[in-house]
Amino acid sequence: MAESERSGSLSGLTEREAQEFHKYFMQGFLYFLVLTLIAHTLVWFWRPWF
Amino acid sequence: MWRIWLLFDPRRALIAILAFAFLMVMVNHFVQLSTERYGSWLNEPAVAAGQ
Repeated sequence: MAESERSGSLSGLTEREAQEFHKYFMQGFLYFLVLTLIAHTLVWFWRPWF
Repeated sequence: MWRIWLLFDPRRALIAILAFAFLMVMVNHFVQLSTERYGSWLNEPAVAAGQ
């Protein structure tokens, strides 16, 4: 398994791979965030909690 | 921020994050269901809305 140590990072990813994954990860997280905001807005219109 | 993926393996991190998120969502929904104010969205009629 010496091959995967080539990149030297603990996770085995190269910096380029880490940056690429991070791009998709943040995109997915933003989708989740938008959906959550929409859901909370709907609940707020239904029954405000403050 | 992206350097986190040099530390944590994305596959395991994703599984851990999704499992944790699922757990939190389940707990929060059941907690809300157990409250008087929000506990009626499944079985109307609505409890005192108190608007």
